[in-house]
Amino acid sequence: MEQAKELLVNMGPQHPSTHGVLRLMVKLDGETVTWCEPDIGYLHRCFEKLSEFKTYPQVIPFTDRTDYLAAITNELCFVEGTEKLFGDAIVVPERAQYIRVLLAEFQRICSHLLALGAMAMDIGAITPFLYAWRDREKMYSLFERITGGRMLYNYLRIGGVRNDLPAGILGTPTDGEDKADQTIWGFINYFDSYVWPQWEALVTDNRIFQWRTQDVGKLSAANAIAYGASGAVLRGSGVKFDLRKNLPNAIYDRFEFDIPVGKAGGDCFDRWIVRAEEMRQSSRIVKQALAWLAENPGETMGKVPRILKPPKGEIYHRIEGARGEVSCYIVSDGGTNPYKVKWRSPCFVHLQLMPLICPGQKIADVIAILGSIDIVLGEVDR
Amino acid sequence: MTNMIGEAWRAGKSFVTGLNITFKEMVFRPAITVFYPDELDTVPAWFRGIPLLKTDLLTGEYNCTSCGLCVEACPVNVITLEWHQDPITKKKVADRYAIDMSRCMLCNYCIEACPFDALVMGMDYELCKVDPENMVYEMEYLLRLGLKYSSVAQPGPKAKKGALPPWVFHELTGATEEDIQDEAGFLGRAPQAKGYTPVLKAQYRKEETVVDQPPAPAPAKVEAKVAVAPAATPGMVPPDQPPANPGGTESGNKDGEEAE
Repeated sequence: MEQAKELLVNMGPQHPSTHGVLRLMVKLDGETVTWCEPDIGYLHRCFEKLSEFKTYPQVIPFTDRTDYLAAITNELCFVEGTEKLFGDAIVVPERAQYIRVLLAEFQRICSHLLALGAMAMDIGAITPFLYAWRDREKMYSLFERITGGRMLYNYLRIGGVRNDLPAGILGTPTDGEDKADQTIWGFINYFDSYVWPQWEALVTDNRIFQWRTQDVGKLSAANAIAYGASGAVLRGSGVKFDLRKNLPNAIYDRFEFDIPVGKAGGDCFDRWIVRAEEMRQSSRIVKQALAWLAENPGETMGKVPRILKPPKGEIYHRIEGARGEVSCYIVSDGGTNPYKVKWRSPCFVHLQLMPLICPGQKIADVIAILGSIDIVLGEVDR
Repeated sequence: MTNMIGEAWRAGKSFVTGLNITFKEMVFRPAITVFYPDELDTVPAWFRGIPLLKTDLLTGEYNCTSCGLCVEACPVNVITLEWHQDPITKKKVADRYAIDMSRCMLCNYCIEACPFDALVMGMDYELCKVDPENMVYEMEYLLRLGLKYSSVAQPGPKAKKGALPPWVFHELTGATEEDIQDEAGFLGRAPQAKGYTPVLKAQYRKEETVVDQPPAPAPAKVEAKVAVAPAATPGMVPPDQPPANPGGTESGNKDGEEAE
């Protein structure tokens, strides 16, 4: 009787460590993965087609829901893309620009906290995940005070932001941990003095965690570029490319920050380090934005026609989202609705790396790899 | 061999470090848990909960003029609005105003679109219903929930630019149906004709009499009240009656009025 050499295992669609509704088909030879393929589409919500029937402002809440863990960056991509479509007709006030950057970077910290926490939990460390949620909760109450929503903000508008920051939300640079859920300065100080060192000691320096992630799921720089990876996955492979520096959108060219790069050849630990470093860089940007915002009050909404009808044309706008390059392609036929919206989500691209990285790894490492590329299924399927 | 020992030492060390951190976190740090069903978390005043309808507490009319801008602004088409024009008052009367909360995504666009300050984002966040059919919030329910954000508003379009952000329309006034100041007013009253002057209840009228001190208008007002009250009685709803009144006297009053 012929003995089956390979075993096909389904991970998902409701496996608790798959970050959403994802089905991974894995062929196993013993414990070694020989073949892996993600099966997606369980969360498809027809975002791109739906956008063709909505006016431009009405699309903004839908972009929130693509990557619901980093909603502001998605809004930023669509809103800036539409403003680009208008050309010089819409001028965004400077204060609104700073608020956008402030919130986008704040959101990046928030998103990376979850990414790191979820990856640690996938590997078996549940405590860091709970700490991540504790701190995210503080950030969400700040977002709630600013925008009114906890996860899905619908805050950016074409031509500015919906409202100015509420009084007292910025705080002062001396705010400590006791104000972490009341002022942004309070949270940033709390983050720098407590959260980040805690992550460093608890997870990054943890030898057991390093064993699980070092030399696992290596992605070479050439492959990362060839597969279109971006964000922490690309930088983890050693490619120093960040759209905030290389092709600055908004006003990122006014801020000082560094781009962390992985040094060990693009394994899971590299991606971890890059994300952890990025949080600190984001905190630097937030501090600079806070300093500017405290001194410069002003308008937060530019002059925008009541009915938005961009001129005929098409635009491709790319920004550095929390997970990588978020970009949108908008075609306008001169009407109130976009003729076509194409959304490029980094998670979709990164998920296609699974068949490349996984073969040769152990089955337990698949979870570590999945955690390290940090996918949000809502964005994969859109 | 030495490498293995070194690795084991490092692993043990990081293990102890982790335990140390979690122990400190457990003992010396404040607890952050909110025991939810027992104690409710506070939300900021502009929290986006449910879109609700506001009432003008002066007369009890709803602020909504059935203009339909919220229906157009809604990205997911959850607002149903049916209206007709009242032949007497010449105003639009909403026959049905319903929000399908099972599909509403709380984006705030309806509130921003409303030019008459008729909608408000409520602060309630417990939106669960046992029966999915109950997720369609009808007008009466929306008005009842929105009552506690209502105030005595001056009619007319809301100020577009003010000190507050344009989406902070609601302050929690905590009003109830008792606070409707018009004698003939009730919750869910259709918009009245243009020249309509409300007749205030006794406790609200006092303040006005203090304001205009000339003695002559006071009796005139009382007369006007007597003249209007019977005509308005059929429109009144039971909650308007003072709850302290025994049932017998209430019916007796009504009988007397009808006899008049």
